[in-house]
Amino acid sequence: MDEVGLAFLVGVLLGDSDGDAVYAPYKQYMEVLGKWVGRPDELIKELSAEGKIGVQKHGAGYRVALMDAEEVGRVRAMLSPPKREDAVKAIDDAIRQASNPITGYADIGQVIRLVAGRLGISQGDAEAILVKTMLGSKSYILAYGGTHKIRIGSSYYGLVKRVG
Amino acid sequence: MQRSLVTGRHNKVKLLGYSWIRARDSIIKHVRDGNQLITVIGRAGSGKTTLLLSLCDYVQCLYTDMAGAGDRDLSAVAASIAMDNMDKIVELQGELRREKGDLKAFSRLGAYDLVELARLKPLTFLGMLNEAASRKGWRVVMEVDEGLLSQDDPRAFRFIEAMHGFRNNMRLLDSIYLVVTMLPDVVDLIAKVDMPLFEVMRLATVMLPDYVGPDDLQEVAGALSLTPETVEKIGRLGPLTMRQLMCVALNPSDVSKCGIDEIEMNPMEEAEVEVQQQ
Repeated sequence: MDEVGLAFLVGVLLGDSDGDAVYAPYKQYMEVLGKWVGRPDELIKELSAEGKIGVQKHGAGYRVALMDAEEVGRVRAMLSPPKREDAVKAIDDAIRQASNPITGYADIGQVIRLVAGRLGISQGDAEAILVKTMLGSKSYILAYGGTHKIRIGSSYYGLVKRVG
Repeated sequence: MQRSLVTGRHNKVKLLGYSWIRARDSIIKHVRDGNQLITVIGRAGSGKTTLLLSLCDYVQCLYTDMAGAGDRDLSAVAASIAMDNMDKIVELQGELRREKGDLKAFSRLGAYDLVELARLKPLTFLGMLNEAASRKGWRVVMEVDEGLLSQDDPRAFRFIEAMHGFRNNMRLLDSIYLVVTMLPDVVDLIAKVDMPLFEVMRLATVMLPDYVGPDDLQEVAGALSLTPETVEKIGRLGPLTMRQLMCVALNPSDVSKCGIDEIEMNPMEEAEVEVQQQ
């Protein structure tokens, strides 16, 4: 894990979620991060410039806000890997979100991106989960087309639909 | 084997399955309600062509299959319809024999000239056809099959433009109805590139069932005289399209030929999903 990953790991471990961001007490955060990173101040300054982390005034002191949802998701996925039920729920939600209003089919490329974001995993892992879930269930119907094609058996599909 | 799994305008068809019959009824209802641009959507093998062909027993249909046509613009669509339905068009021409001017000229055109007119002036051709149809009291349903084979077809935009052209002239062509078949990916494409067409299109769409459900399976099994063992086996295979079902019925000993070997991998239990950590 690199320094950026550590900055987010420490923040997620010490902080609390509030909406889209995670907030950690500044002093405690810098103490812990300082044990692992040589120059925590500079690292925070760099990440602030990129908009990934912010230092905000909070009550009488300061707090560190972790604002990069993708990094936060990745750390959370590492700390508690998504369970099968979570993966299926993420897939179903993504299909619902990406589906065409007339046909009910969703573009698999878009579903993979949404699942990866929701579970905090890479798109390659999301695709592997998707394929395994499709193969193991009769609840998914596949169709040709789409922007990203996955191989199921001997065919390549790019659209997916959830059926009852 | 192969030819029994595809159909065309020279075949006699029988539509099976309650859900498919309901889909046909809803097209007829759209025609009665005056919705002139009707879209039949279904994934490959879901029965779109059979549905269109079976519709000809209920409405005045002009069916054409565009798969073999080179272009996809309105000219190509109109010419393809003219070529494939010359007998019905000649019958309609008879309605205009006593007219004067353009209508009379149209009524006297021979087969070659009709196709040329459709190709060169598709809207004029359709306008004349509309005039003749309205006098005869017909609602002419133009069925255009395989207009868009996939979203990756480079001619896709030509066909979308043709549909848009028909959409814009629906008021002038009030006795003519256009039914087109589409795969789901093509609907996605239209939603992305031609929202004005999509908005009108979505008012009259018929979505074919994605798979053959238990009730439909029983009816199909009865019509095809399938044994209870075959029906049970089909039920275990997972969600099958109508074409896959027909394929299994013809070839019950080797379902892998029907492209459904993968569906049977885990019929009873869900696969465990392992998430690889980064």
